[in-house]
Amino acid sequence: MKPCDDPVALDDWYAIDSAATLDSMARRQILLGHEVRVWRDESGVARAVTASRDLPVIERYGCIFTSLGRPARALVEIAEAAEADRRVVVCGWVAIRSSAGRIVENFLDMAHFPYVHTDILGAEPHTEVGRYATDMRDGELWATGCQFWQPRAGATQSEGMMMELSYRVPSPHIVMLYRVSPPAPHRRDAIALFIQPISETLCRAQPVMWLVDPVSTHLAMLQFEQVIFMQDRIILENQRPLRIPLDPAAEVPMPADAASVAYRRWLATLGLRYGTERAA
Amino acid sequence: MSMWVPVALSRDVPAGTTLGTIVQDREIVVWREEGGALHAWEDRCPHRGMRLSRGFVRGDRLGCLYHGWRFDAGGACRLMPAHPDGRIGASARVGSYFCAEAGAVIFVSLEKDGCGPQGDGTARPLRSMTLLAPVATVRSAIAAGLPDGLAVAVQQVGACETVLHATLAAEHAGLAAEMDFFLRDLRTRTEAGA
Repeated sequence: MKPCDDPVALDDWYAIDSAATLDSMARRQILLGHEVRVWRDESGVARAVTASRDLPVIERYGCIFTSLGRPARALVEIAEAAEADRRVVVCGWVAIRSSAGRIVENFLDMAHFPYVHTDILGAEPHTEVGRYATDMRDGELWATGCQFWQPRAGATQSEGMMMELSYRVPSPHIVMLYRVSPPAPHRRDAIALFIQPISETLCRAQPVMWLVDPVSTHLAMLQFEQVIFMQDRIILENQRPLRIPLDPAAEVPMPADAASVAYRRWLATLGLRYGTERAA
Repeated sequence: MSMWVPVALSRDVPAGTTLGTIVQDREIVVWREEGGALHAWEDRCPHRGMRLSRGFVRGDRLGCLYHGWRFDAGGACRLMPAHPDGRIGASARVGSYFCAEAGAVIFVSLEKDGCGPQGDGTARPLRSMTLLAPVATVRSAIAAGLPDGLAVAVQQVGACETVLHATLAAEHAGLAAEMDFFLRDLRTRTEAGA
């Protein structure tokens, strides 16, 4: 596995472990092809090092974040994480043989709900994806005004409803979903997916959710998300090429792919090479 | 030399099913319409690269598992469920190849071949078998001799992976168990030497 030398990939924050399970026994993680050891020191502070140097560490959102380079921006601010009445579900790491870009695109996509998450997030004949907006806000990609008919939008739901969603991509390897909270329609649930690229075509990813849900058990919320993720993994591991193509002519988008098209354009603008297929 | 590559027994791709396979290092999907017509295409949806061999057959259309894009017998997309009334561009199509059935075996050719594949029209399907050995080694083992009535079509799927598609002549159909034993023994010997 070739260590990453792409500064656009290196100069960013990545989640590489979970806060709750980190203790004094050092764990070996691989980030962008580089070996990193992570542990908690005697004062309980999370530490991360490579063979040659100390790395910066941020413990937040249930995860341990680090960087192999010099991030120009701070780690994403997620306001919902500070709201004390939310159920926080750290869903666990899943390994996926795919590139981070393909994983982000799958998270942004609604048109697959009736086919991949049948009778949960979507069902035939409610397959239409209406027009939605994409824009850059403060260096982050947003998709807003998204709507989709969902048979079971969350663990509390047993009836279908038209769900309103927004998506936020604060950096190339972190993606978030906001959706109206079914038990509290004036508030939004927030779900983040933190992606740890191990190589260009192998990643680990952990969903973390901040939900307004006074009813469901922790296990029910966790299992709901895990079923969704396992279904997505079947797709992700069967896409070819595994790296995300940035050449607009490589694949054929439809209007529902506006977020994906904007994301690919953004990656090309940033000059990201790691995990991408670029025009020949 | 014929460009026809055997990929499966006809029996193993019944109506309404798909099969992912490899022909000359390319990923190919073979699928059969509910009415029986067979097609061989590139195993990749033009939308987001999803393997079409994971898709579903409805009538004479193949649907991609990711977003349900429906492709007709010629490989053209005819429906994008996210935009049921939308216009579909000409680039939304799958590259197609040639396939034919002979002697109870399905063959694929990447290029147009004037002659169809050869096969005994009365042959009975026996089984397909994967050998973890290079195709040259497998061909040598077969050249050493096969029992009367047993025919094998050879498909290279990897540097050290070869598939045999075995059929029996009609008059030897009662010897299926013995032929299966022969093949399993052939596999053991060939993999040991590989």
